[in-house]
This record gives sequence, C-alpha cells and structure tokens, in this order.
Amino acid sequence: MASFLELQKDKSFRLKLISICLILALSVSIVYVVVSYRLAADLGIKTELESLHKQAMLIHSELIINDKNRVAATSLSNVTALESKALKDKVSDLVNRVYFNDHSHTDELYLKITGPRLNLAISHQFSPVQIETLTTMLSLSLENMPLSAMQNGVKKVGETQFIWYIVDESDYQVLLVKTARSLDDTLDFVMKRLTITSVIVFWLATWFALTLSSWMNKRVQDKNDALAHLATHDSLTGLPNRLFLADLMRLSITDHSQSEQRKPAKLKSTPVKEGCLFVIDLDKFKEVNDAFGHAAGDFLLISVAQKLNDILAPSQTLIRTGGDEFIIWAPEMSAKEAETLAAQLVIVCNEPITINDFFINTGASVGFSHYPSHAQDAESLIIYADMAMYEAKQKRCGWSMFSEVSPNNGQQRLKLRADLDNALSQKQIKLYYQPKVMLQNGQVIGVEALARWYHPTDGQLSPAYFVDLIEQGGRVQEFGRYIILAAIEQMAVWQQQGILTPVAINLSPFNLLDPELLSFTLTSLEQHKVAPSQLEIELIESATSVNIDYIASKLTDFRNAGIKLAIDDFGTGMSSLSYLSNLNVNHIKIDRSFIDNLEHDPKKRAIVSTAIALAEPLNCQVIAEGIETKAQVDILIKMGCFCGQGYYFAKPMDVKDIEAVLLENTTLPFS
Amino acid sequence: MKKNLHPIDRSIRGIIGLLFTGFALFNGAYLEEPVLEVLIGVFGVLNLISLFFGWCPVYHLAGINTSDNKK
Repeated sequence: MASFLELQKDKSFRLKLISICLILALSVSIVYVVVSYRLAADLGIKTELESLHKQAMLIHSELIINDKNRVAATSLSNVTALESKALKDKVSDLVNRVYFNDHSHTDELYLKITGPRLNLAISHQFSPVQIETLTTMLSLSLENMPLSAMQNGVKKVGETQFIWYIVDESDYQVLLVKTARSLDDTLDFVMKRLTITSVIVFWLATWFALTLSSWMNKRVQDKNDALAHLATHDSLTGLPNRLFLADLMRLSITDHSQSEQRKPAKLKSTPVKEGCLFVIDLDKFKEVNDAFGHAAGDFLLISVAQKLNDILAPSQTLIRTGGDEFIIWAPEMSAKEAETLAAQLVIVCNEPITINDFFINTGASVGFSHYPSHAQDAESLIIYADMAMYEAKQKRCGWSMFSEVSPNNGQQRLKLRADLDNALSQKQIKLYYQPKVMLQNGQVIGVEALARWYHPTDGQLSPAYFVDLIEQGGRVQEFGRYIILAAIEQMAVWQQQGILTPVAINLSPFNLLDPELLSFTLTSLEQHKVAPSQLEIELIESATSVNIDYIASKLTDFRNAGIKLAIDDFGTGMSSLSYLSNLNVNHIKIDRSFIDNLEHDPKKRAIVSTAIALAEPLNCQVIAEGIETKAQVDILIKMGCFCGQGYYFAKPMDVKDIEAVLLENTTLPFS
Repeated sequence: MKKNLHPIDRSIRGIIGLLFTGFALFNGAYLEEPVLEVLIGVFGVLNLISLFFGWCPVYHLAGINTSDNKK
C-alpha cells in the first residue's frame, strides 16, 4: 500500500533551495571579484606605462635638446670628458628632481642611457642581480620584438613586477624600469572595497535565498498538504479514512524506533500502552439511502459523523472507512471504559435525525476490541472489532466486546486462514458420509458427503470453521473441484468393492461460476469409470447475489449430463421456490429447522406437508433432514415423505464405518 | 513583535551589528566609498535591531524560528 507519508514534509527540499541560492551567490561574488580585480589591474598597468613613456621621452628630449645646443658651438666629434660629466650631472639632477623630490618618492628605479656622448646607468634600490636578470630578459625579448622605436612591457623578476620603456631615437637609447605599483594598489582596493561589497552581496543573496526558499517551500508544502489531506480524508464527512487509520495504528502500536523514521506532522500519536478500537455500523443506512435518495444518505452520514465526533475526546480519532462504517481509535482506554463509550455511541446513533421532515433514527451496532489483550496488530484489532460488531448486530444488542471464547474465535480464524493452503495441498480435508435412508424400512438409498478438516493441531473441524474462510479467500472453485474429485475417487473405490450407492456433494452457487466445472466433473467421472447418475449435487443457497438464471442454466447442463440435482435446506433460502420453478431437480431436502419439534408444532407440519404436496407434481423426491426421533419418522411417513436423514438413523461417519454399513447392507437405525 | 531568535543567534547578531556599525561610522578614510559605508551601516543597524528586539524581519518572512519557546 502506498503510504501517504510520501506526501509529508520534505525538509531537504528547502535545504536544497537555500544551498542552491547560496552557491549561486558565492559564485557570482567570486566571478565579480576576479573580473573587477583583473580590470582594475589592467587599467593601472596601462596608465603606468603611459606615464613611464612620458618620463622616458622627457629624459630623451633633454639629451637631444642639449646636443642641438652644442652643435651650434662645436663639432660633435670632440667630446671632452668635462662636457660628458656636465651632461651626466644635468641628467642626474633631472632624475632627482623628477623622481626623488619631496612630493613623490619612487621606490625602485633603473635608468640606462646609451649614446655618443653619454653612457649612464642610474639605479635606485635595485640589486645588481636584479639588473642583470632584467637586462638579459630585456635583450632577449627585444630580439623577438619587431623593430620599432618605442618598446615597452611588463616583466616579473622574483615576486616583483616591473614595467619598462625604451626610447631609441636620434643616437640615444633610454631604458627606464620601475616597479609596477598598480597591482599592489589594486589588491589593496580589492581587499578594502570588493571584499566588503562581496560580503554585502552575499548577505543580500542569503536574505533572498531564505525568503525565496520559504516562499517556494510554502507553495509546494501547501499543495502536498492538500494532496495528503485528500488521500487520507473522506471527502463527504471530512473525516480521516482507512489510509489514515493504517498510519495512525502503525504509529500507535508499533515500537517507537520504527515509527520515528518518518513521522507525519499531523499524526501526533505516540505508542500507547493500551487502547480500544471501535467499529460502528449504521443499521438502517441502506434503507434510508433507498427510500430518501443518496443526498439524504449523505446528509445522514454527515450528521452521524458530527454527532459521534462531538462526544469523543480530542485524543480519540473518528475514521470513516467507507459506506456506513466508522472506526474509532481510543488510545489509553481500558476495556471497562470502552464499555461506557460503546453504550454512549449506541445512544448517540439512536438519536433521531430530521431528513425531509421525517425523523429517522438509523441505529447502529458497535463492536470493539482491546489492545493489547485481544490482539497486538492493527489488522487483527479491526477484524476482531468487526466480528464483535456483527455479533452485536445479530443479537440486536447495540454493542458488544470481542470475546475470545466465542465460537468464531478470531485468532483461530486467522490461523486457519493461513493453514488453508496446506489443507488443500496436503489433502487434510476429507469426506465424511451420512446415510440417507428409506423411512419405512431403514434401507440406505444414498450418502451425503460432508467435508471435515483434519487439522494437524486443532483436530477435526466441521465446515462451519472453514467454508466461509474458503469463500473469503477466493478459493471456492478450487475447493469445489477438490470435493468433487474426492467424492468421485471414493465412488470408484467402492465400485470395485461392489458398492453402487449414490454420493451427494454440497456445492454453493459460487462453485457454479467456475465455467470448467462441468467438464472437469465429467472428465473425472470418465477417468474413474463412474456413471454420472451416481453423483448428486446438492445446491446450498449461501448467496442470493448470484444470478439465478445463470445458476439455473449451469445446473441444467449438469442435469443433462446425467448428474442428479437436489435443493438443500429447502425452505430457508431466499429463492428456493425460484430454483424449484426453474430447475428440474431430483430431490428437495426439507431443512432441519422444519423437522425439529415437528411432532408438537402444527405450523411446521403444515409447511412440511405443503412441501411434500409441492414436490409431487414436480416429480421430485422429498428428503427430510435432521430427523432425531422415531416420532418424527412416523409423522413424516404419514404425511407422505419417505426419505430422510438425521442422527436418529446415523451420524456422519468416516469411510471405514460407512463402508461397513454399505457392504453389509445394514438397515438403519442400528438396533 | 514576537521574538524569533535564540539568545546565541541574538548575541552573534549583536556582535556583528556593533562591529559593522562601528566600522561604517569610524573607518575614517579607509574605505573612501560612501555607497559601501551606507550599505555596511544598514547591515549593522539591522543586526542591532535584531539584538534589541530579539526579532529578525527575514526570519519572520521566511518563517524560521530559532527561539526556544516555539509554542
């Protein structure tokens, strides 16, 4: 069974939503920081290079201007040491003024000038190794570069990045190298601003994630709750349904560790020490429905549900399981308290309800079972309460508590239901035979086969114990074939011993729904070389819902095949007369209830004699069931019934005993 | 205004609130960015509100409750 728990709150959904939002925010923040950092760094380098360009050009221009002035005075070729020194001082002075003044202070600087009248290298805070590395790297990259006057770039030596610029024009080459400050500055800004911005963006994203997730979660949860409610509640009365009950019981009476795993929010039940389960069935619901229409029926159900709910304590749960049946689960309630509640429930259901200006009181039967004294599991509790309810309904006593000593002991029934498989496969069900005799002389004219279950632990069980189990278990057809085959096999054995007594078996209308039953029977008869006329089918009328025309046509087929037919328990069923008018039966078996006390009850005598009179024109033989006294035999003979069976003649007996009777051709009763 | 913060939650917010508000007011020329200063100020003040009232507007909207007395 699919549990509605699947619809319960999924906490991980919300967690996932929040995580997704946060991861998204984090990724956006990272991308944003990285891109901004790179952008700022690139911009910085570009600006620095431009500035370096101007500086290098300034120094270069100074040298050129100086040369031009000099050309006017002397020739270029005569460069004196004095002049060279003067130029060097001039350039050094310029560098000092530009780079090392009070306003700006350059950390690292390397200037190299090569020309016809000046070769100068100024280095500030540069180590010789750094200069060496730089010049080697530069000369390498210069070779690879296309020849152009302005060459520049960024070089990394160790941890420090340097920007360099070369101006190479008009005899002079000026190389200027400085540390790139932009990257450090950028990093500093990033630390200060971007990080804080990211924190704030992250905070906003978290805020957004929480709100969004709770909003979405709420929407999904609302839908889920609605679905769960639909799945676990009855739409008419709004009460919880059987599905809800299953979960409620599972949580209430299973141990705590199991139920802890997925506990639905709405079921606030904890394992209980004891409790009572009530089954309530409205007695006249169907009549109300039929007489006043479904709307009235619905109104009745709603009113009853309302009234029942009003008298229940909050801890007790009212459940509508379908139709006109309600279940109440009352935790922590003793059997004694339950009796009071049951009586109260009956009174409440008996209060009249106004429908279409009619006062209707539907009445109800209540049955209950107690946990844990009656059963430890939910299913058994319901079955037992149900059985108690049926008992109450039959006795018309309002309410009833499940009793372990009642003949239909629930526990045994459950056990038997489980054992039924073995019963059929291991042939534990055997046939007993009760003789049918001629009343005048006690001669056996046939036997009726009756099933007995030789249960390995419970001993011999009569059909009362297992026939309804077979019907409920959907094994009617299998069981029918089993009985037919067993009877035919027995007949074959007896035939070899010279016994040719007909054997009657009981079949319910359900058996006749088996479309292959007739061919199965005929094949079995043929296999065992038994004549069809030896077999007789007694139709027990256990269900009135089966279509009588269909049953009649099936039985006609049996009869046409030569198999004899009888109506069992004549007079008690709903459609005995219908059968009689539709079927050509060989025997009518008058029910034991009419034979019992026949000698003192003139009404019963009237019924029996009518049945006998009825049988005569139909050409069928009347057999009286349940004859217990000689007086009954005498009266029956006087009335014109010449066949019968009952304890007066013989009880049902096993194969050995009946064989003895048949072989010796004994007349009954035993004298 | 119903409280929805656990004392621990509340005190953490208090510390964050004080730090951020203080930073926004007294960072001097460190940030040089008014937009950021305002944002940090708002963030800090919101946290301080949470400290004083034991109530967080976002928790309220999101239906989160970290306080002990849920019922």
